[in-house]
Amino acid sequence: MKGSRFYYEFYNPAKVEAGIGCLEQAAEKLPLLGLHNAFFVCDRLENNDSADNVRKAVNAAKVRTGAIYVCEDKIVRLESLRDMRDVYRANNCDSIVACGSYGVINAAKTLRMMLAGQVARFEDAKGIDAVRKKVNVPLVAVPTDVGTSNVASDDVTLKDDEGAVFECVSPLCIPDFCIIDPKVVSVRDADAPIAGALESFAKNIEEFVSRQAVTLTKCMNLIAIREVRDNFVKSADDPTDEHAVFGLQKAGLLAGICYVGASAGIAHAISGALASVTGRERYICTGIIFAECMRYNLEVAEKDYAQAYYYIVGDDKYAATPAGERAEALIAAAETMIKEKFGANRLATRLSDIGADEELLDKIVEETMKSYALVTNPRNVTKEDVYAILRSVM
Amino acid sequence: MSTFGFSNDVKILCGDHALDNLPYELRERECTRPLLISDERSYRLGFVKEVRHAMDNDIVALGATYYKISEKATPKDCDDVINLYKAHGCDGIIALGGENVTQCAKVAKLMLLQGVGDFVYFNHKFDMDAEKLAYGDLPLFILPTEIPCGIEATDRASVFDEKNNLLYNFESVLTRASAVILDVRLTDIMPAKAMATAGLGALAMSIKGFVDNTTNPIALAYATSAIHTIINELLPAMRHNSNADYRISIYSSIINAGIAYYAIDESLLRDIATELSIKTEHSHLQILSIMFPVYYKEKVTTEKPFKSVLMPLVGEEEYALSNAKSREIKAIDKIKDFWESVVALAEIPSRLQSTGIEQSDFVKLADAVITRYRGTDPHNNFTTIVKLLEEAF
Repeated sequence: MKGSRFYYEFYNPAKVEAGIGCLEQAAEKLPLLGLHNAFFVCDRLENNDSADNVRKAVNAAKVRTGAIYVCEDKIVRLESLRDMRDVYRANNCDSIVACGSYGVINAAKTLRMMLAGQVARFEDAKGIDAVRKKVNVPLVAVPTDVGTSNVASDDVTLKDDEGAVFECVSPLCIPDFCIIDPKVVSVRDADAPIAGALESFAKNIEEFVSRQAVTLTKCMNLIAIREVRDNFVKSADDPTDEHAVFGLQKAGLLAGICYVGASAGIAHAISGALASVTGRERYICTGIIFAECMRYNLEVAEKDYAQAYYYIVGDDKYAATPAGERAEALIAAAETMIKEKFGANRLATRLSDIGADEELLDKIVEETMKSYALVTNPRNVTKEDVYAILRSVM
Repeated sequence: MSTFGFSNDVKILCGDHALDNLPYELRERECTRPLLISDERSYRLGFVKEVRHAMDNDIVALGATYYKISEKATPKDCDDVINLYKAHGCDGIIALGGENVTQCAKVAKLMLLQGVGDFVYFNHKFDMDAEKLAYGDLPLFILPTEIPCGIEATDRASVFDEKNNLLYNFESVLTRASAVILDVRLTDIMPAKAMATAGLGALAMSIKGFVDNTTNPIALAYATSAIHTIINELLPAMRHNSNADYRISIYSSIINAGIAYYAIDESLLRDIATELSIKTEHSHLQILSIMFPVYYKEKVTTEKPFKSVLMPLVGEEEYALSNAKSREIKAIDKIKDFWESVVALAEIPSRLQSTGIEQSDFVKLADAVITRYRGTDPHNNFTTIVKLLEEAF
């Protein structure tokens, strides 16, 4: 019998309810998932209608708010996590509801992993699958940003007491229930849809060309890229357009689901390091380096880029572009999209704009090389490659 | 409005050495004494031995083994499995075999979790979340050794009571597997005919899953990937049926097709195939492989997003160059051409009369389908069903 050459795993344990105004109906299911006295994690409370609405819906479903914790860490710190754990225990909570942006969801995912695995030291969770489940701690995630991708992924990024960033990957990080409702999205400024669209687009492209991508994840990525195409401009022009925001949320959700199997690539690794070192938002960092990273992978990802190009431009433009030029055209389209929208909103487009100078490069490169995302990048990445990419956008 | 829900936490492990992960997956679920159930064919072909070898006997060892599941899973099989499970203090099930073993294991799991000692007939859709909370979980690992049937990673299961000629259908999260493990070592070369029938059946499932899941991007992706794989790899898999890559690829696409197909609440095609399957004792996939070109030819006007199916059928290049107004027709032609190529290569039955059904059965059959069908589409009526059956005959 001839042997097989390939192997893959696919696992998507999150239950998803999604739709405009689906919050109340979805929240009714929470007691059935074992939530009675929930630990509520959210962004700042002042003028936070999203958190209020989610809490009301959760309480209306007869789930008590055991405690409220405001988490404002962009990358969750161990100190905050220890606080959260103490508050959770002091209030006899039995579950977690996370309502907020990337940082909040990240914090709640980490807390759940620790509580479910009864891990005493947060540092012990470092790495891949380091924590085993011992008790059930239901986690519900209600994202309030447009990006949404970390809501369904199995990774978290943490900052230790010395300020060093590390990653944990575990199925325990994946929420049991994701409620995706654009009515809960807090669009505070015009940058929010740009941030969401860019993060979704970049992640989906990197997953699509990942070494671990399989037909199923690739199909999800292409559906997501089409959602970005259909909704990016609409939501950037009108951030209150719920249909457009929902489209971007779906794209982010799909990116999160695929991340579990396909992971990401070099742009994800560098943008994470840049965000950590400079303290700037991750999407800004992604915007600065993404086109260069695509160009870096072009020699091995040309066929995939050419295919993805269809989902960005549609029938006519795709058919009119010679097959050999489609991959480059995708990179150019991504570059134009970033420049136009970032330019219009006066966002950073060079490293110097975010204060990342030559002196910080060593630190950024060092952080980048720690990322698991490099393992699945279609090209083997060296330190020199990362330096070259960073210098090209100084 | 495009509201959707999706839930499928079955882990799929597929390809080279996938079986080696079984001990890890068992330990992760604190399962240390699984019951291995199988059938005589799998035992004879040495697959039971392969699973024994793969076990990490220090921590996880088989609690008991049973390899006498009937060719079609019956209520008695389920009772036997439950009794053995309890007698040996097992804490999980490994189902190694074909559709019969899969169905039996899923129903046995449901009955064990519900504390039902003897086989009883449930015929309603359970409240899934409430069930999971109330009854907990029982690790179930499905290891297909033959062509999958599509229900492996779904919440569906059925057993057939030959004595009373009744098909017991279950839809419950309690039938759900913890993981499906597809390893080439557990599969044997399949005849091209079997591969063709299952592949066409899965194509029917995935196309149905595609057109009915347009608002659900996750289910849509499962359907799209299955269509893409079957269209590109079924014919090579039939021509080179000793090639393990093609075989595993088609098997995994059938599992994905099943996830998309059973994510649909109501489907006339599924109800017709179910009733014909009971009546003729042919598998659901066999019936679909015969029915679906006729079904889509007839129903294309009411299956609105049908033109989009052309994309996974032909790829971006051909789709972009095609006339937008003729994509529906082109999709139908493509399906028909593909179906004819597969049927011709494998020389498989292409008409309903080959299943042994008589035209005089159609009225009774259409009645049964209408009783089963819970959808609201007015086009799906008695006349349509009889017409479809006649055209496929």
